Amino acid sequence: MKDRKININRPVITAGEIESFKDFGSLVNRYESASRFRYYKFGVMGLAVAAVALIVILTVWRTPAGDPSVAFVNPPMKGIDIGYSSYKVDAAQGAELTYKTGSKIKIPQDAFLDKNGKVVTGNVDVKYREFHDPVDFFVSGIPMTYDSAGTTYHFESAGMMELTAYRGSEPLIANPESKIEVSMASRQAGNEYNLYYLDTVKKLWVHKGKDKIAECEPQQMIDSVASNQPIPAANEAGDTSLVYPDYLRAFGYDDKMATIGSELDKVKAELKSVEDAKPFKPKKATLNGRKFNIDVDPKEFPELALYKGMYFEVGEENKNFDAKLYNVTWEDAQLTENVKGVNYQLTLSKGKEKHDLIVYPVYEGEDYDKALKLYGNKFSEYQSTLAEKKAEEKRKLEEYQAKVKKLEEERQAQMKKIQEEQEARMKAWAEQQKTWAEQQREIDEAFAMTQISGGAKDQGILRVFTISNFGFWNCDRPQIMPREKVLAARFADAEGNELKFGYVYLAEKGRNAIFTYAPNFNSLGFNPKKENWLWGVAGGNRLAVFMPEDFRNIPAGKASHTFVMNVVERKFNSVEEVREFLGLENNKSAQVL
Amino acid sequence: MISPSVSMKYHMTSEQVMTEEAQVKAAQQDSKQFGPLYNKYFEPVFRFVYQRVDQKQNAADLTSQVFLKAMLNLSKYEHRGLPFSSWLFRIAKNELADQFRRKKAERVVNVETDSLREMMVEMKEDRYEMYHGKLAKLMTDLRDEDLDMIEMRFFEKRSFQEIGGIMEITENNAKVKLYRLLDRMKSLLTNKK
Repeated sequence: MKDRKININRPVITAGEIESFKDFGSLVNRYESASRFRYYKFGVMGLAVAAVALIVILTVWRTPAGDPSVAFVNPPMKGIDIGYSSYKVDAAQGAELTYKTGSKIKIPQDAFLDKNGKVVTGNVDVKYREFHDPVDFFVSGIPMTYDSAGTTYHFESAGMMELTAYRGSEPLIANPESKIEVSMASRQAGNEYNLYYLDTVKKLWVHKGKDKIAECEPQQMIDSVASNQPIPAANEAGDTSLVYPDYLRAFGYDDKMATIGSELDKVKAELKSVEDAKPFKPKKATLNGRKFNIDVDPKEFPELALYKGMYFEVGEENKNFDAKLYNVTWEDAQLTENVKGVNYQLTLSKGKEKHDLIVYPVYEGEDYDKALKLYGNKFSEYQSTLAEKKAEEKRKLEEYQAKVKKLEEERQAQMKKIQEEQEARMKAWAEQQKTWAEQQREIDEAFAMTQISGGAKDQGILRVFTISNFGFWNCDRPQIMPREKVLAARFADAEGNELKFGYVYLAEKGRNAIFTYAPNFNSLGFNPKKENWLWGVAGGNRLAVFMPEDFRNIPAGKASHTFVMNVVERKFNSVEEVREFLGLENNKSAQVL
Repeated sequence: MISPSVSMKYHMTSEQVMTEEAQVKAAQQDSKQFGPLYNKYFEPVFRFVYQRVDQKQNAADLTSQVFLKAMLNLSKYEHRGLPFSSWLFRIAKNELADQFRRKKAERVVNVETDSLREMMVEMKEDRYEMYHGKLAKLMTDLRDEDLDMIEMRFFEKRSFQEIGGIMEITENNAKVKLYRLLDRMKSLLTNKK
């Protein structure tokens, strides 16, 4: 039983209502995202600030020296983080690795030590990733505050990276005698950035000097990225809808059923023939004397030709029978079966005159006796044959039912197999789509690197430094919180229910930073002359957002404000989705303290 | 209340056929040229989908998915004597089947009493009051292919030629299948074997 839901006389949907669902622009966007492409996009906005306004961390950490039960680097959104690129390096040989943004990692020979300080040989697994905009900063959960001389600053970043190395599951140590050099692609020009390393034991950023700026041609960066991007293979599985089979037609269900049924039909026909050939029981003539002697075609009436000496007696029901009919030479006499096995209709006609009589085949005297005896034998034979045929019919019926059942099982198995194949093809297609989308995003990112924020020169920037430890390295400049306007803040949803957040984040257009407000903060500061975004995480891991237009509507002259947040119900599945949802433009770092 | 007929005008004039072929070719060259076809077939495809699901938003999402697949596979479309609409409805049918199988959508039967009457007339059964409830219930238990056929014929008023084009069978085969199905349904209705 399928037990589907049924609606009777559901209200009709109008053409106007259907029209409201049309969105060709959105369809084209989805098509372009899903399609394969082998060319680079130009003029893509930087990915810098796209997802900043949305992400809110519920439980994370308070400060770099905060709750010890919570990991120091704690991605706030489950399942969403910046992925690593993985490389296999022969430790004795060294290698030059290229990341998707065009960054280079030069690994000299013998760059790795084990926990005992011994130089590692053989293959080593190196993992690397970068963070370039507030979206990246958030999803990674990397603390972005820096304490110096009793003041807490917030980092405005020109790019951050993480480099780790393992032999199997054993983390390795960077060899200070053979240092790894990183040339990290950066979207921020200028040499006012410092180099910092994140000490995860002491839970703070450590100043490590300055990076060096190297410039490179954008095309170099693109080419280096492109060389790492495999060209997607033709997707054969994409055309799943058009190769989706018509199960019944492919399986030949109707033809097979017809074949199975035909054998049963044949036996049924034979049985009917047997039944039709039931012997006719001879009847003795009455003494009414009303008889016709008619020559009967034995082919047409085989049951009548069985016995000799037959007459047709006119039945008593023929009330208007006139014996004068015997004296007429009739032009035509037609005999047809009336009641099967009992009587016939005799039609006598001459010109327009016509008489219908019900007549009975009868026998007299010795002919009757002989006919009766013969009938007995024939009837026994008939019964025997009938019984055989019925038994055969029963057997055939059982065979038929068994075959139908088997056919149905085969059909179901076939359908299941095809469905599984279909699902596997569609899954592979979906995976491929995902891969292509990711590859295109990487290409877009690489190209975005060429769009230098704040710089007059249209060139790529590489920030070059050597590392003394594996882990997080950051090119940053510390910033203080904006305080042009300070308000005592309260947060509520659209229904007026109070919202409680762990951390609240502020982003300001023109700064590649996020300003983090720790739990239980008293006041919130921002620059009303800039575009601002504010966000937090409400219950159920939902984002709650306060957008630039909301900031513009804050009344002037107030000391406090209830920030009415838009709580987003949608579930985000990737960094890109968060970035796309926010739709923030590339934040250009133009301000210098 | 009688729903608007969702059956496209299957028989187009030669001029209309040529215009549509040109639109398809243009869209195959440039996806942005798909607009005229999208505008023309959005409502019919939507109604086809909505006939089989419960929620309007669900129907809208599925319709969008159908057109996305059409655009992605447009390069493989060839005019083989059947209208472009048949190809679209086939994609819609397959997309729906896939969504139902993966339990991402629920297959719902939407019937109208007028259509049930028509079905019973075709079955040569005039005891509507006695059997219409049972007939509606019977429809919820049909095999998917059989239910599709009933819906396309009696609820969407499609011709056998159109049904054949969507189900990839001949027009004659569509007729035979439908009438056999009606015979079986009548037997089940009246409990006659």
